Amino acid sequence: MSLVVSGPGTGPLVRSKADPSPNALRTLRALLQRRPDLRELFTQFRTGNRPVEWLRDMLTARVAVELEDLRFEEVLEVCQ
Amino acid sequence: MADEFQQLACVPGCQLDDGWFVLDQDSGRTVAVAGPGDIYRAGLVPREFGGCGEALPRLDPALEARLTAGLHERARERESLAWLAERARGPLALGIDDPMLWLASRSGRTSIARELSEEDPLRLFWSAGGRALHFLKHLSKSNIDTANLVAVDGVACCRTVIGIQDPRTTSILFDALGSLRRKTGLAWVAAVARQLGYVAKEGVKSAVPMAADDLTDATFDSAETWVTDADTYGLLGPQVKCRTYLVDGAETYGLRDLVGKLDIGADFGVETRELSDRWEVTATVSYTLHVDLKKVQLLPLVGVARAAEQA
Repeated sequence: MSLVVSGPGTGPLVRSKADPSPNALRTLRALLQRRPDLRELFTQFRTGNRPVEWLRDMLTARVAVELEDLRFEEVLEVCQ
Repeated sequence: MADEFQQLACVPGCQLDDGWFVLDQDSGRTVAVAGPGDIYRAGLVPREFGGCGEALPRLDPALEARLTAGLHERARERESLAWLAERARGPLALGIDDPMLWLASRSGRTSIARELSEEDPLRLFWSAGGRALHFLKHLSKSNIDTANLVAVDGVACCRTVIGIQDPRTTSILFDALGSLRRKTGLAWVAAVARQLGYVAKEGVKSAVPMAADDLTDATFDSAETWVTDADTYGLLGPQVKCRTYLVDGAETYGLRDLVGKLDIGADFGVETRELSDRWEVTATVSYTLHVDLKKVQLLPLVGVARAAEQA
């Protein structure tokens, strides 16, 4: 059994179990623009061929302080 | 964010590997990944005060238009869903992701198609009701000896088009999934019945042509169930009509007892697409029909169109 979905603008680009709030997502993106050390994590993730959980945890540990308005679970979700 | 990077292989929000993320300002999510081919450079453009200048690169107008239209569409959809849910709040108290509202949103329509694709094709076939049941009872689901039967391979296809011009006019009580299920089964059975008619026409050479003017109810006593097209159906008496399965474009033939067996292929697939104000769902499955042509009574008719005109 198969399902083919076609047509303009079909489906989300990224499939994830996480459903972060728009505000948290925008804040995290702004942080990524400002901080080269966070972008370095993405390079390490790719070159080191690490699991996606590694990237999530490393990001969470570094941005949790700056996203103080969010609960820890929300930070974890946005980093996922 | 980590999932996004893993799946799209770019640093979110940054240029890397000659690609850019196009973000939705409202949701913060990525709505497209633009590559070098999606960038439009206008080149030298005239300045207001004279002379020329190099225009800044921008997204390809076609991509930009698609993204703009998509965003507009989603905003319109959200508004319509909220309106529909609000309207039904009294008796039903619906949430905007309620299955009753699936038909009104793009993601909901995809969910309907997914549910259909997860159905058992055999069940879709055998759940067909009405006169299709008269036809199906002549085919076996269980294993029977097919050594002396004629095997015919075919593909049954059901294409449904539903208008989605205005989500606010969606009837929340319309069971789109149930309707698709029933329609798919019926269309597949009709395809098999039509195919069986073609096979009978090719295989049964002994059938004597008969004038449509000479048809009487007694002509149809020799078989239990008849399959015919719309023109011939109009010539039949009420006693025969109630055991006749009407299939557009089918040959006229009768069936008695168990005529064979229907095997369904494992390649059942559903394709869904949306073009402007149309939603199309196509459900396809392959099948093998094993049939004993001795139990199929072909009735080649001549002068049907003239007789139908006079009737």
